[in-house]
Amino acid sequence: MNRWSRRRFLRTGLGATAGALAGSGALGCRSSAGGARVVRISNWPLYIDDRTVPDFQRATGITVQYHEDINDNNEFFAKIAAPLERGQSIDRDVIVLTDWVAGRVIRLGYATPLDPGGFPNRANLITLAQDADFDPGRRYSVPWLFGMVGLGYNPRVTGREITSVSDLFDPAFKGRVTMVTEMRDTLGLVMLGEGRDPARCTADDIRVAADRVKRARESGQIRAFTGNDYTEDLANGNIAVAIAWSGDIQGLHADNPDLVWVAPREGAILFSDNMLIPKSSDRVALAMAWIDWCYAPAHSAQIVSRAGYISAVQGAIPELERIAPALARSPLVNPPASVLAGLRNFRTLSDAEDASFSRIFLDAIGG
Amino acid sequence: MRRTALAPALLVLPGVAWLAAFFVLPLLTLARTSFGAPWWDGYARAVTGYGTVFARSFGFAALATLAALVLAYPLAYVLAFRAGRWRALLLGLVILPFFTTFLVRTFAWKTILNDGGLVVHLLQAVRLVPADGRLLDTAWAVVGGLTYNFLPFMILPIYASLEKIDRRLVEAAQDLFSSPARAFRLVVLPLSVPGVLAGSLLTFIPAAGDFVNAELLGGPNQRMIGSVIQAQFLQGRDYPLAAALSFGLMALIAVGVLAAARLLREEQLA
Amino acid sequence: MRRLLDAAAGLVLAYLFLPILVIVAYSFNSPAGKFNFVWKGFSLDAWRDPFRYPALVDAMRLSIVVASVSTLVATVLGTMLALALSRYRFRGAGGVGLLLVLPLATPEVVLGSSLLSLFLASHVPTGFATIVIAHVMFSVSYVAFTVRARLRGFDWSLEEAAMDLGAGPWRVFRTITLPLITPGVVAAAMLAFALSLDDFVITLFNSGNDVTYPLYVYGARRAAFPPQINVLATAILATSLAVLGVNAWWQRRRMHAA
Repeated sequence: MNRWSRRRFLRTGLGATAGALAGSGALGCRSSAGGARVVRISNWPLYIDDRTVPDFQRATGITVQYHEDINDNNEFFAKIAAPLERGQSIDRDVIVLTDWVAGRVIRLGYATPLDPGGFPNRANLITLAQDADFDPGRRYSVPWLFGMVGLGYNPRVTGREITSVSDLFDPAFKGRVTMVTEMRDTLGLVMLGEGRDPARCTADDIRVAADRVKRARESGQIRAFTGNDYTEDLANGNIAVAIAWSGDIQGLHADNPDLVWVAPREGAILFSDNMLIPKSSDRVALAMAWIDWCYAPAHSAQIVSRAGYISAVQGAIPELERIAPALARSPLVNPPASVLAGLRNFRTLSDAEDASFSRIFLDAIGG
Repeated sequence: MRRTALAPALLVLPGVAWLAAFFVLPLLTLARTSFGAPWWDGYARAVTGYGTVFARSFGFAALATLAALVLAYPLAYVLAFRAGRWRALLLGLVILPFFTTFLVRTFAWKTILNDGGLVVHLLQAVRLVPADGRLLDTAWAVVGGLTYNFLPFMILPIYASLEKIDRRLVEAAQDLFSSPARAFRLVVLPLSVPGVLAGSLLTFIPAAGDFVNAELLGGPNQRMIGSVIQAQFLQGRDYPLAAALSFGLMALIAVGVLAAARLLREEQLA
Repeated sequence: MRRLLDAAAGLVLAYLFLPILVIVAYSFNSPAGKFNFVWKGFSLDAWRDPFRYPALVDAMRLSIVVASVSTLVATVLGTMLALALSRYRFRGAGGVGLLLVLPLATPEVVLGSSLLSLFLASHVPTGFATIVIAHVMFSVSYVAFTVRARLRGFDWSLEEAAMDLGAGPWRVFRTITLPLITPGVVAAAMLAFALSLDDFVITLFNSGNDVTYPLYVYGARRAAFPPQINVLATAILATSLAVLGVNAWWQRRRMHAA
């Protein structure tokens, strides 16, 4: 083959190859290539039942990649902040974050507004959730579930009823008390015990609460600061009283019917875990389909039947009556008015306050 | 001969480049990160806020190193002098636990030392642990975990240095000193010192910076400096403080090691 | 006295194995709650359904892939370093040796955090690539030292003899050097693989969103610790045992054949 025709052969060969590659979409965006519609969700562990994902996939034809990789708000935020800041993808279309972190994500511009057009079930949002001070007008988020922070205890170990935040500091329970590593939950509850209001807390309130916790830690009153792992020790009787999340205790009831969750008489903390769409997501329509699905009363009831927390969807309780009547009557999932009246939100903090209060808390818990 | 000079350079270059880029350069970057606003801010906070945690970390590491030494020496001795044809097998057994993940091994200790478990009950029966006491979430559990996890690092170097000792030397010593204990103390023990030193360093240094044992087996009053560094980097994102703490850890380790080396050398000369 | 010594050694060995036995035993537990720390009853459930938790399986897969890639790179780099240090005398050999020892003397927290600060400062996103980079970094020293130990006493004149006979340097390497250093290289590779599979601290700092098997286990401490974790750990142990056994048997065959 002479030089000229060899060059032409190469050129046409390369051209054909390039054309084939471009046509097959191998070099192009994977998401727009015809075929799988996949929505990628990050959530907390054990926050969903077994049927919701398969039902959703069957009904909509959208594949769900469900990741239970959120174990700690700060850890997860730290993971996603840098890529989102740089405009890089975090491979997620829906993330479920606790109210204050959701607020931070929204404030930093890392979230995409929810598309009202793809969200007909938004009308089902309960009044309590219609607005939020960390997301005015609920433009970026809707609750996945609400929860309450109170006291969990094992009556066989305590020997008595637990009714007040001060029971956490009862010397009779020395070394058998746990608190959680979430600053707002622990300090919020302790603050309520001091007669201060977390919804309007000042730096002084934080310091008083943190001091109380620090002294209890140093004296050996508090055995550990935990995530969800206090449930094991509570069930085994290694722990007498714990700052506990209502859904955890609800979830333990099947095996440990004697465990009790109580809202202290001084009040309890209300929190919400919220669905957000990260700004790097290129599948807003799919994310909205998922969010809308979860806001049908029957589907919300389905989720609650396993998670044991409080639904934000109107009409979920009657649906829950049909599939899990005992749960529908549980005060943890369907709190009575007396408990609702005593619930307090922890107020939204500025970045500077958040950093400073977190530091005070970290120092109080040991490090 | 030019080719001979080129060959080692080519062989060495990729590895050295990798380490230069991903070990040396990061340390320099860490140093730069440690300078906040003002430059000494991170260090000031590190020194003032975390003295207790540093002291505790080094205390735990020292205890664990001592415990590991006591446990490792008999096993290393038997391996080197008395194992015979079982040596390869026994060595394999010493290394085998390494093949279960470090984290899972430490979780196993959580099971073993559990409040309602056999170990706690036994210790309560002999009054070593009070009736309502526990092992988990105490300093004992943390030191125990550290000792366990770094034990092979102590066994292998001691074994290596014992194994190198010429048998005839030992036999001669036993003839000379008539008592095997004296032969051990005056000949074998001093010759094993390099191994003991190496093992102690390989145990102490990682133990001082460890945080997994403290986090899984200890309570809030057993928090170690590694935990703080990790939390400040990954959650608190207070980089100047975190970096200053890291350098503080390295500096203190270096000082400790040099001091120990100086002490030992003085003892040997005396 | 002798008996006492043997007994002491035996006790220490038993101590080394206690957690291993617990890990294997508890893979047969049917735990009461979400955590697997209290024995409830014997059950094969976890073994019958070892891949029940997709996140755990994904983490295991990632760990194996990372270990394979990093072992490959680290073995090549480390072996080259070992060859250079054993075979040749050159200026800077001491410096290279020091550079190899320093990572071993640095606490893992510092290794991990410094690498992260480099990636942060250069705006490199953390993920698979950064995990592999980190694993190669700490493995290279182990590989180099392991191969170098095996090369002690190596008779380099064999190479020269072959070259005198007319073989080119590549052929010499392939037919003389390589077969002789292979056992050492294999041992070093197995060590690097084990280190990579096991690594937690350095990976924690540099993994971004990706979750390796140790990272999964760490996350599980807060949320739920299914017995499937023990099942996979036992599987790794059994596989390693098998590999070690095969390697030992193969070595003995070679020695008998030689």
